[in-house]
Amino acid sequence: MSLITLSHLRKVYTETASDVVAVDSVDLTLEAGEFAALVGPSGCGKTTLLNLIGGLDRPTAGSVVVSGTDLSTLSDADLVRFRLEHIGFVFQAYNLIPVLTALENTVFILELQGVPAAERNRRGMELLEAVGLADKAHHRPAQLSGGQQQRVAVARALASKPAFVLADEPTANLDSKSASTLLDIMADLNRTEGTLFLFSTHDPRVVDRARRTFHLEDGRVLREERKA
Amino acid sequence: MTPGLVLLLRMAWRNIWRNPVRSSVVFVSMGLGVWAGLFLMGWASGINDARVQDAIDDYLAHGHVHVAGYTADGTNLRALLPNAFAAVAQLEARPDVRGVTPRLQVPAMVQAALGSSGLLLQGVDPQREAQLFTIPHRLPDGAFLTDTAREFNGVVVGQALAKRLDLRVGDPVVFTYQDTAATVHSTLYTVEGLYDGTSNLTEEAVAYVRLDKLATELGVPEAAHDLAFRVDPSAARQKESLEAVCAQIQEDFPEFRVKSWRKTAPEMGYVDEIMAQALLLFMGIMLLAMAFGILNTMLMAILERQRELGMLMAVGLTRQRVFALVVLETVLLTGIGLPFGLLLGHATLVFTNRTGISLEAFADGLAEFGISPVIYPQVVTHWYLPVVALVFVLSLLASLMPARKAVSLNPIESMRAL
Ligand SMILES: Nc1ncnc2c1ncn2[C@@H]1O[C@H](COP(=O)(O)OP(=O)(O)OP(=O)(O)O)[C@@H](O)[C@H]1O
Ligand SMILES: [Mg+2]
Repeated sequence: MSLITLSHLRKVYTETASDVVAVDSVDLTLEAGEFAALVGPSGCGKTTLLNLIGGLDRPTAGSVVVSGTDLSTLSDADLVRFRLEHIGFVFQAYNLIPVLTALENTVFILELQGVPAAERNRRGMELLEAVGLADKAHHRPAQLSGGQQQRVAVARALASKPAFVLADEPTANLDSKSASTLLDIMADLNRTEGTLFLFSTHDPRVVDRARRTFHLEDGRVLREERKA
Repeated sequence: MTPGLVLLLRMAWRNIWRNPVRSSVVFVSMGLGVWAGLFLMGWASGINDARVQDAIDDYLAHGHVHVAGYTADGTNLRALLPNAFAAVAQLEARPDVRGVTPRLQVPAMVQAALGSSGLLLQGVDPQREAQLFTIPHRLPDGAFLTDTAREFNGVVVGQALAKRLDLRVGDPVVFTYQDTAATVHSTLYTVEGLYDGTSNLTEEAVAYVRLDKLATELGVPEAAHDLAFRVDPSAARQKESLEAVCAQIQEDFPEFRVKSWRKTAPEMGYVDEIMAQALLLFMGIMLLAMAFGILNTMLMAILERQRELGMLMAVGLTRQRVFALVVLETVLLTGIGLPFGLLLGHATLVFTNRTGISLEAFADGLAEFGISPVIYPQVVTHWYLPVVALVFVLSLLASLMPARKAVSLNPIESMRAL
């Protein structure tokens, strides 16, 4: 069984002037451990699609099935819990809680899940080590660079060992060196933790790193590439 | 404890310090509000205690012994304690009793050259009366029924009455009253002294003659209407301990009625309670105004943090937890100023309670209301908990709107918003 199955997925925003079809009859499946990218020009529907997969938004038609659960069957409150338990998120910016340290941000979800302090801090330090920020564990986000903040966000997304991580333009605000570092880290973690990563980008430097790429235009998947 | 509560508390606490200036305004106003409220309560309580203490010293005593059917206006002449002197001796023998004075009371008309007036004529034992009350010592003119020349027909009247009827020491004055057999007596007395009863009301309402004289007139030797007594000061201070002493005395005199001043003059106690409630209401209104300031502060904080709240909800913070976060932050924000206000208020009350606050400048006006010129604010510890509860409830109320606002945010839109 696939980890993520999208069938005939469609999202229409009803505007006063005209309806905007942000996602249009998308069918795709993703397996555990994949490292995949959604690529396309601005406005092609990447964010909308990620939001639908992440249960942040509800489709107009079609279905999102994650690990056998059809998200449309979940109530709003159940969706929040589902996100907390099964999905890691990395956003373009504002990922971190300014009043919490890097370590506290990393273990944020573990703490909400009630994982004991010793256990979650061990896991948190392990991940900060992996993203190369062990020495910044007790710094607040404001004391970190944009690239470092995104690395903490990746660590946070992985802390609770979610089924998959959704990352919406995680490198959009980063210089090319930081972007490359972040991608290296994500690729490494994808390998060591075996977590499925699905990220969106329109940055050609980043697109190459994906082993599977979905090209979007006007809400449709135009073509799909696979690397060996 | 639900998992995450500690995390929410930590976040709420740190969020408060994100805008230290804005938060400090809340702490300081809350602290000052609580301080001012406590001081006002202690102050009012001090005024009332002084008023009660003055009344106890002037005429109220701590407790009274009567027979059933006694009325304080003296209209029930037959409500006599038969063996009054034996009862006085028995009362005095108690270790917790600090003085007893027997009194006969009869409604009388006073007639002087300039006019007449109705009052309560009170027959007292001068020495005993002077042991219990301050009025026998507050004589701007004359003596308190101790002048041997006027031994049996001396009368001490209040200075307000004397002024109205143009009476001076040595002036003759006629009192008319009925005895227990309904025979009317018109007896000539001589003004022996003028007393200062603090309020004009008292000064016009009561005149004093000797107990033995009035007993002979009324034909009731060895009897009294009222035994006023004082108890040990430590027992008198607390309502409960005074009531306990009165209950014990009651056991000694099963045929009589023993009542504390709270029972014989309930209005004295009511004023205390009414004032306290009014002040709590006043403080509630003051804090309510502050609650709107807190509400505004929190709403601003929520609006500033829309993106962050959106992100939190996106990654899995439930609405209940978002709600709890805002409530906790509001309560903490409000709560920080509270201990400072309490501490400052407590210190102020303890200090002023020791030193007193002089109102000499307004003494004359205050005397009319029976308020003494130096006020000793009371350390009203029994009001601390209600004040804390009030602050807590108001901060909870103030948090509801911002919390609902936070919960109503849509994660996607909040994160998109610039
Ligand atoms: N809440 C909304 N209401 C109306 N239209 C919307 C809304 N969200 C997205 N859209 C529209 O849907 C389309 C897809 O938007 P989306 O944000 O998914 O694109 P994107 O590929 O993420 O673009 P970018 O690369 O700029 O982030 C756009 O035409 C956009 O204007
Ligand atoms: Mg986008």
